[in-house]
Amino acid sequence: MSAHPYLRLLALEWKLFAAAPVNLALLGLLAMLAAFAAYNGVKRSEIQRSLIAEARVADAQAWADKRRDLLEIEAGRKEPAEYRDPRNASASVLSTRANRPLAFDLPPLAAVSAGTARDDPQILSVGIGSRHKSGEASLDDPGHRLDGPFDLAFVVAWLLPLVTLVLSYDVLARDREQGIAPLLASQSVTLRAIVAGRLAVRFLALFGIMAGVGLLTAFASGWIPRTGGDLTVWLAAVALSIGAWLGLSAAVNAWARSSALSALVLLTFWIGSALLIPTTAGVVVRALSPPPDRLNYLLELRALETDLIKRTDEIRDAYYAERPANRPTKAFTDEFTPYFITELYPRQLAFDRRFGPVPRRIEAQRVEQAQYLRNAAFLSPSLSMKLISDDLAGHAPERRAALNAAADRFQERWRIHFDRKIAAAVPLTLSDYDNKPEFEPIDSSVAGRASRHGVIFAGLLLWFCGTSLWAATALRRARLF
Amino acid sequence: MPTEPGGGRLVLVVARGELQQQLRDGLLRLAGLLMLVLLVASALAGWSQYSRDLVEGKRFTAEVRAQWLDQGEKHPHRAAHFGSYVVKPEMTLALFEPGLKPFAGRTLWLEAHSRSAFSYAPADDDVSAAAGLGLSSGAAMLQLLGGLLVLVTAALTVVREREAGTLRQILAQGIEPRAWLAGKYLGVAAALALAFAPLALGLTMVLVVLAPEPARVDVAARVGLSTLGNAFYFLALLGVGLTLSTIARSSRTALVLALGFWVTSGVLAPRVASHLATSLEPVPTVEAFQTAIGEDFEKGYDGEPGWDTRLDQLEARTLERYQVRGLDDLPVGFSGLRMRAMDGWTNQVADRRYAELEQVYESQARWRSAVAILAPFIAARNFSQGMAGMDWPHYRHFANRAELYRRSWVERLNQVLEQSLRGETWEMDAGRETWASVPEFRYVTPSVGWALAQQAGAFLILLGWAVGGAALLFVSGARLKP
Repeated sequence: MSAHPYLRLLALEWKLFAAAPVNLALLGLLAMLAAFAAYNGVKRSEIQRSLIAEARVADAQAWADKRRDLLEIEAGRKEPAEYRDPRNASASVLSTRANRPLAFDLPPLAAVSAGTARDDPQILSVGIGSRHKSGEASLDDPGHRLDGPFDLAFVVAWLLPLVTLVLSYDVLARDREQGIAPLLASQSVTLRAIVAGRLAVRFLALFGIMAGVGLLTAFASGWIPRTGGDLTVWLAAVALSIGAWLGLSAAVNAWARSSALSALVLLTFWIGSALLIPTTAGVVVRALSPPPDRLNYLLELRALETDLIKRTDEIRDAYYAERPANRPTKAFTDEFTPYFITELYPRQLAFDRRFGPVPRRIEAQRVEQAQYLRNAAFLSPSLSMKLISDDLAGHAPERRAALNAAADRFQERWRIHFDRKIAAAVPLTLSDYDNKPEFEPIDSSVAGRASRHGVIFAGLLLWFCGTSLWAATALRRARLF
Repeated sequence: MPTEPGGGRLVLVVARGELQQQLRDGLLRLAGLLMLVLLVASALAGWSQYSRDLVEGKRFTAEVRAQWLDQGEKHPHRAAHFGSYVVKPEMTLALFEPGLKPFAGRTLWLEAHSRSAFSYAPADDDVSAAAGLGLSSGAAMLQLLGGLLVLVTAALTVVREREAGTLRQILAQGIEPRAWLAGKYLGVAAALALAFAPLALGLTMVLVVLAPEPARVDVAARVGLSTLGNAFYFLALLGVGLTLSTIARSSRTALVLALGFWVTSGVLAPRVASHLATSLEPVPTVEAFQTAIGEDFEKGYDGEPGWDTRLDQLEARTLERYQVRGLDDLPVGFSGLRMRAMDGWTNQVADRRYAELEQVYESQARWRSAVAILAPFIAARNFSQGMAGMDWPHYRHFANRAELYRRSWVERLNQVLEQSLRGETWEMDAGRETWASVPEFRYVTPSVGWALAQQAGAFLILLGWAVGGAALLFVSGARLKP
């Protein structure tokens, strides 16, 4: 068949499709919901970006203030405030008030998915002390997380397939019901070409809406060099997903005797893909890679803390034996400072040395779970779309692991930089402030991202090819009355 | 010539006929069986999780207490910062309705100065927890998939008769349409009840028998109310589904309409409700909330002086009370007095901010209830969670009791400072005897009456929907056309 008659067929099918007000209403509804989800996402990511920016500005300001105070005190223009002397490392650096806010910048498609996490951006508070002692608390009603966010991930994973099925469940079954299918078969174009034309029209309409919303979202979030690549990946996944559902619809239409039966069968597929398979996959993944036991984590943490407190003298002696130059040379004038410097500080270091592997193990468990889940996504286009959207929006556990690893590296440099000044109670100088380490936000690598996306893409491609092949075979054998 | 049965008898005849037809329907049998298998599998998985959590929770509580007692000699205030953990207990209903459990932590950390929020939500660590559409529990499966089964079954009931031409014959015989529809309603309801009753009975027995002796009556009442709530929900969907079936001209249209209602009510509405609630009444971040409390603490509010002024006043009052010239001369430990004053003021400041936060929660709940008026799925889920003791009010009740315990516990340690120290000294050590003087935390889950009061709105919405669904069908019956 030459291109020209096929284009004419497409134009004709488009006219028929557009003539049904229900189809246009459904497309309008999808566009509206997708736009609403995109708006929510853009707004949410704007807030998150500004929270990260505010935290960074406040941090920079606090350190600039300390530096200024130091200069003024040294010049004799200012008296140091109690507990806030910028020369005193114990007050200026050891305190949790001096912790640095560490965060990755949001990825370009952050607006696409709110992920499974809370709305707050992930900002780690890192300083001299251990950062493993408190959990990420939230005041939010957890019911909101149970409901789930109204984001584009939700639209493409669950609503888009439903709309696709509603628009295509009777793509052939209706002709059969109305008795015009044999007439179609008697035309010069094949039945497969007619059905393909109908599906192509629906594909273009649905993909057009999602591509438009995706582009608007990307522009509204601020176009950066990575945006083009990420958006292409996301839209390609959306296209494969729509194609897979349309292929499935055509295959079911080929044998279903009525449009009601076709609708029921397709609905069952949707329930399987959107609800049952992800839930079952979750159960299997939990069995293969159980989530960390936080109760044991807490017990372990407290047992270690108690043990270290009981061995305070031993730990202090070991610390100063290892670093004899850090031993304080002057007597302390109050009863609080020796506790912070000679007890708490060495204990924090000892704590992290022994407890550090535990949170890293938890990170590894999360990553392993995510890998299993990506493999399970082969079974469900909905799960694939959810996972790839979450990943592009920056919610992959690998990214969280990368942030924690970067934070660990920063903390190590931070501790080394201030170690002697804290432990030996040596006054801080301008050089300590000016040369203090800065966070290096090294995100997960492009290769790592590509490998994660590749697994999900392979699943979607398999679905698309499988359903297309099934549809082509089924349509060839389709009974028309 | 046989006469047509009239009134109530007609309803019963039609109901019996519909029941037989539904039971013969292979599709319903298959769907019902599948639902049953899924629900039983889900309940078993829930049981396994619940049993594990119960054992772990008890072991954790015992070990935390042992760690508290064996923490060694240290300053009481450092012991207060070492803190303690409390675990929210769960009723047996949680095995079928875990409610907010995946997204709320089970534990609260109690330490000096500040009230803590729930942390370590299982979903934070479990990547697979949010893979689906919240279908992780038996109750969610029952309400979402069971609701779809009810809607689809009902939506096909009348329209199939219309497509087969039997509706025309029935109406031509002069049968009262509303009585005929009432029969259909009862028949489908009986078929669905037969499908769900074995599970409901079995589950009720398991939940009540597994519950500890003193809580059995309460658990039985909660299970009964939960079943009633779900029954209202299904009756509402039955009424809606049958109404759609009377309106639709074809099975195709009826299915699309039913599916549209299900998606809107069960999939879209909860997210919209949640989005509305959090957008219109946002809860502050923990950091912002703590900063606000910190500022109130430092600077005071509404004419209440801030901490520095309070400390000066405390010093002056104490010197006057003990008739000494300086704090060093005091016969009691001033650091204990200072800590008590500090914690008292912190509590006052925090109570004010938490009262505001409670207002936000209430406003959010009102927004969600408003959407639930249009979407019965939300009301059914909220009610079910409430009866299982796994909704936000129950979590807050636990957190409030834990906070009262925290205050009494910190107060006890501050008393030790006051009684053991003299003057303005700070350093001292206490030991096991002091730690043992802090009582263990005991928590009693609120009664079914309290739970019902929290979810009265959801219950009324479900009742309204059940009655409204039937009324809608009654009204549409007057216009029933072949």
